[in-house]
Amino acid sequence: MLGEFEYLLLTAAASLGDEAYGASIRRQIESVTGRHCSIGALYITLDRMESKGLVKTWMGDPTPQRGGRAKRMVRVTPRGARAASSFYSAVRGVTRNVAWEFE
Amino acid sequence: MGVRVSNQRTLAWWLVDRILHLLDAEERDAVRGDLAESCDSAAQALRSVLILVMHRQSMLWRHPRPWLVLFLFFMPLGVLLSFTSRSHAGLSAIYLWLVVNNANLSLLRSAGFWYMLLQILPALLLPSLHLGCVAWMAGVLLAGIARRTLWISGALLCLMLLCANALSLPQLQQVLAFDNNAAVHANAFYRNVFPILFQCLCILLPAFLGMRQGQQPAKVSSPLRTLLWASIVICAFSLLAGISTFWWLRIWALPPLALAGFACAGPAGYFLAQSRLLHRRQKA
Repeated sequence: MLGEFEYLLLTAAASLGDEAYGASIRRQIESVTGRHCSIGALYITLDRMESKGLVKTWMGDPTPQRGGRAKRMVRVTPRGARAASSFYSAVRGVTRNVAWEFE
Repeated sequence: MGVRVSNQRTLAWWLVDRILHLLDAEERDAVRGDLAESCDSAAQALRSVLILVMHRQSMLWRHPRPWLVLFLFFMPLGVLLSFTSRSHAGLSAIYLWLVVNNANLSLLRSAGFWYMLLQILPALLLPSLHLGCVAWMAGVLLAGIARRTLWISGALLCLMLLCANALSLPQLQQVLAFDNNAAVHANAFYRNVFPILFQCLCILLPAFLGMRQGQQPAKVSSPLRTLLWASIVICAFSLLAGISTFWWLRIWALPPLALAGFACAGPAGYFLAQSRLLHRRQKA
């Protein structure tokens, strides 16, 4: 079972497609959740997920926007997609018949 | 600094850049790029980078190799260097005290004073030079065999040197209280501060320079590595002989057998090989 941050990371990487790399995933997570996402936490989680076979990472080409620095590109593997789908189903299932009320 | 534009070159950004050097070149490049794209403050960037570096280092230290290098090579050598430096510092302190306490114009005008100084200077400077050479070689070798854990290993080496120094203090004070030079060692500066200054100058500084030298892209060739290892093993034996109480071991530290002279062979060979390499590159 995925953790919350792992799910966020997988979803962000999947939605970004070919443009998924460290900084863009981070921006996506921060804009959706409104919370700060540290580069350290992101890279450590990416390592862990890569070792589990949920994502594949590689060094991309340098771009002028980043001062000619390379990007760590990310792609969600079929195994990662299955894990994310299973997590989403679990969240949907457990949330059924629950109405959150705010005071 | 390379992460942000010039007006944001604060100390924290400089620290971020320094800490990033503990990462692999590829990852460092990617993290620098990500930081350049982000709107993080220096403090946030520093925290992020620290988390990442600490995690990477903890992964490296899970393997036995850095521990083996530290415990089998650098800890014994560090302790040996620390004790030898304390012994040399004690001797240097006596001469320094003699000169400082007696220095006046008439003494400085005396030919006998300068003659005595010329006599004792080699005896004081050569052991310090040998110590510095051994520490420098240890730094180069540490950079070669523990490249990825270099700065943590280096920090542990420094810590160990200082601890060995501090641990030997009470024992040494008891011995020095009854020796002929008790007047020198009664002074807190010569007893406590001077040995630490001596250690910083003769061991920590050369070791740090050696680490930096060993980290440079030009790799140490096999014959040169063999020379450095041979030199450091012979010098370690010589240092051990110097503090030993067994006469048959101690004679190897005394002139004319003194093996400490081999200490200079390592750095000399290293710089000769590097200059030849540079010459060949320039010709090519």
